[in-house]
Amino acid sequence: MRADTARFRARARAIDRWMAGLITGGGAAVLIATFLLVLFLVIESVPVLRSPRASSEGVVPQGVPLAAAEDEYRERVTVVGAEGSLHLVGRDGEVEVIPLEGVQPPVHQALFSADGRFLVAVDGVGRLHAFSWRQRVIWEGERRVLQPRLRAIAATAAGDGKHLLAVVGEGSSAKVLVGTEDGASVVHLSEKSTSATNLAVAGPAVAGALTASGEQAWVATANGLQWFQRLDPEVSLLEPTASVPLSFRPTTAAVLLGDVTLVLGGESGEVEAWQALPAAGAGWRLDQAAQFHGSGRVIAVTPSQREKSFLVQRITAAEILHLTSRRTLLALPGYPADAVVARLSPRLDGAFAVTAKGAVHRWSLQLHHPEASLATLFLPVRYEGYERAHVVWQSSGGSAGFEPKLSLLPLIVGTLKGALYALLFSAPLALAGALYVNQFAPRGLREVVKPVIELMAAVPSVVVGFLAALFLAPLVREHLLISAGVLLAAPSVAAVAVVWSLAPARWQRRLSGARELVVVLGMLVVAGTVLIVLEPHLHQAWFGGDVVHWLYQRLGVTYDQRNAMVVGFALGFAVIPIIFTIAEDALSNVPPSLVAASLALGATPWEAARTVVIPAASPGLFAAVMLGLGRAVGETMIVLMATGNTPLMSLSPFNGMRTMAATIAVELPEAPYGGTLYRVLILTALLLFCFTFAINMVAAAVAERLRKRFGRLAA
Amino acid sequence: MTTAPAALRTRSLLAGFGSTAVLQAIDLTIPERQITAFIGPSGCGKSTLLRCFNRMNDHLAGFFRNGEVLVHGRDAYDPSFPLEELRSQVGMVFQKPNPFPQSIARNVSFGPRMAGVRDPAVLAELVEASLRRAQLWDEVKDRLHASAFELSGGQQQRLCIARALASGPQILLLDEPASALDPIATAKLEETILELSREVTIVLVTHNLQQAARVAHRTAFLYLGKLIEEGETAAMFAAPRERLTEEYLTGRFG
Repeated sequence: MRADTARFRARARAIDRWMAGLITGGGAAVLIATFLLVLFLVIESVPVLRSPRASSEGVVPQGVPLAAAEDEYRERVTVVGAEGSLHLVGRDGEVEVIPLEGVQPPVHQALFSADGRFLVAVDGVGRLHAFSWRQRVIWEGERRVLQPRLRAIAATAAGDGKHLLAVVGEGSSAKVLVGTEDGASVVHLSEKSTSATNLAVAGPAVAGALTASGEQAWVATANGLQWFQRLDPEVSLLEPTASVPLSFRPTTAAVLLGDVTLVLGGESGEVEAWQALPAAGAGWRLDQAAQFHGSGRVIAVTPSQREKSFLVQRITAAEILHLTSRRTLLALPGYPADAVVARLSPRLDGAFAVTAKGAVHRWSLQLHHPEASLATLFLPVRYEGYERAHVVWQSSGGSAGFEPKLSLLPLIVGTLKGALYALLFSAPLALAGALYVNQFAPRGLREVVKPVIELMAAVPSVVVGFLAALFLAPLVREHLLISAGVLLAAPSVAAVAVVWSLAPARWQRRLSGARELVVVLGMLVVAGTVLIVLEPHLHQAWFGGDVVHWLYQRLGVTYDQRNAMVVGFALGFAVIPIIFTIAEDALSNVPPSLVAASLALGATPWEAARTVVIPAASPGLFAAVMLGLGRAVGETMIVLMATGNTPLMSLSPFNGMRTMAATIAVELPEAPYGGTLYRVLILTALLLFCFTFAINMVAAAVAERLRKRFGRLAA
Repeated sequence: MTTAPAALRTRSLLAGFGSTAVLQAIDLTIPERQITAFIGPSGCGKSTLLRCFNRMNDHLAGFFRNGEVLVHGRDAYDPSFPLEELRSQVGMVFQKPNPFPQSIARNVSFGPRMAGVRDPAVLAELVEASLRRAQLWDEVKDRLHASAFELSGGQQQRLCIARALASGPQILLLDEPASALDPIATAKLEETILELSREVTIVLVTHNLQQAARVAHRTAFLYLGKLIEEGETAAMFAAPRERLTEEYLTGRFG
């Protein structure tokens, strides 16, 4: 017998130790997993704010340069030499020479298009030649070989005193912007025909640029800037659509990717961005979009073919600037003082410069995510084509020149707005419901109501979202008055209750317990029926047939079908069970002896609830609302389906929004791994985590303070 | 002594919960400004009878009642007699001290505040007077705004008495008020009760026969829902009229 007991004890102790280890291990694993998750979010999102880097890569000597371009793989820099041929300079110094057909040396001027695919040159006899320039990739086994393909498009007499300002091309035609003594003209070259459009410019053109589409031209004179729309080979003289005086002497110009912004470089180092905007009334006006600081005469500006950054080549330095974030990303280290040409590689992963002696300097670039900085993520940004700084979330667009707009503010505002409307709807309802069920309801009702409300939490949120989007949203739109009535139901019942409390005690006594409940429900049913019957007439009588129309016409309020009100209902549906359950538990934990004490002192049940039960349960009630808020902030499926996902900054209950969680769900699967969008989305996830973490911390801290204030409750 | 006017009176009071009758045909008169103790074994209905006087039973599941309960001659269950008014006339102190999680002063002023007194000066006066009557004033006058939970168990119970007194009741119901207290605190409490009985009618439910003998002017013995015997304490303890009473008093059951 004793031995049995001893063995039993030993076994119990062993199981105890084993279970203790298991439970400790489980708890530790949860903590570690949470920590690793946060670590992952930080590691994946922080690089978005990394500063760009450039490293110098070596020098290759070669002949006198006029213009230069580089291929996509950064294998060879193509330099146009004055003797009339292309020099393809490889990384280890080998040079392939391709003669420019039909060009009489010496070549006076040469110019590559921004994408490096078109070349124009003015030769020794004053002829203007246009070439298309490609390097095709072919594979010789495992080896990649770039096969150069130079094709002459057309040639025409250029005349004296002209200088090349810009070239763009498309297929087998090219447009060349040429500056003359007294103005500028665009030469349209194609295999079939050649024509010229004279641009009406006041004074000699100093700098100019063409948009990649070849439809617009910018021309800068010594003191003004002109913008020409609709370049057409058929038109021989074109007046500027808009012009503006300049405060500095320009030296060079380039249009950034996207064909919207012109960057002008100046004599004393000025760099300015200009754009054409529709003027008030009619027509267009030129608008200074940005100003960058720097010193040293600007020789050339070359735009990136990837995004809104550009290389500014100065007399002694070269810098890479970014338009949207208004930042100087970096200056090329070890930039040669005698550089003639400096450009960015097509993929923006490098840069090169060619000196007067023909030495090719190369740099490797790691710009990381120039479009994302703390300023662009959290402050208003003036994007291309905008007149003022805005906060916009628009991560993808239709064209290559589209600029992702990654302001997190609309998402943060949307998240808080959704949570706020959800709480506005659910918190009073759930708290009042919990108080009623706990303190006032007829006995037995609690046993029915609580499980039913907890069952609400079991409805998958995708179903709630689906119903809200496809059923509730159109219904609310159709019956806006009834919806407003539903929102007013709780205050109305409260008002009736107040009036009723003034009625004679004899009447009041007739209505107690279950009968009271039946009367309240009956009142709601009757009021609802009346509202449904009256609604069409109200529409006609007061709102001219349609409330939504009336709202817009009279108050200028726009109405989205999927809006904050619908989300408030739907998200509230998901939040109610959480708040209700926790609040009801908190109320249940208030010792009945306290209620009895207050009743025995002559308090009415409501007074007992107000003065004793609610204060004593307040830490729990507060925690309930906070946990509801946490759920509303983190909820994804409902907001994804019912908000309309419009990243607006509006707080109107009739407008939609887009939350952080929904954005992550929608966009992360399509964000390229390691790209800016990917990193910004991960950053959003990190923020969301911080949000809910902060909410829980605040909830815990406040609950603790309240608990201290109300002391330990007497058992 | 028996000529004192009746503070409380029941007439063939029958009460119970659900389908069980706890009290059967109780006819009892409790005189003014005396201490009346209810004694009897557990489950005999002492507490239920006590709770009939301020209608606290109404809040319990399945309570029913038949017969009359008169408070100073007025029917406690008359619909025209507001519950709140009844309870401000008939105060109650429970078995375990149950102060609110608030300051000492707010605990005492709870009843007057519920009755609509707002003037801080009036409330402060009431607080002091009530605490003095409960013989707690000297112990707490320096920390009226400290939490009531800082008090000892005996002090908390006297605080509950002060709280009940603040509403100005003529009748005080004490439901085993000393059962959670140590002997010293109990002695102090009994002293307070005795002192109070000069001004208010006190009904005391107790398990402790010595306590009944020490403080009660009159004693009522209940057994299985029936009032077996009622009379002056000294007389009843010395020479009970009923055999059941004698057996209970001598500890043969209980």
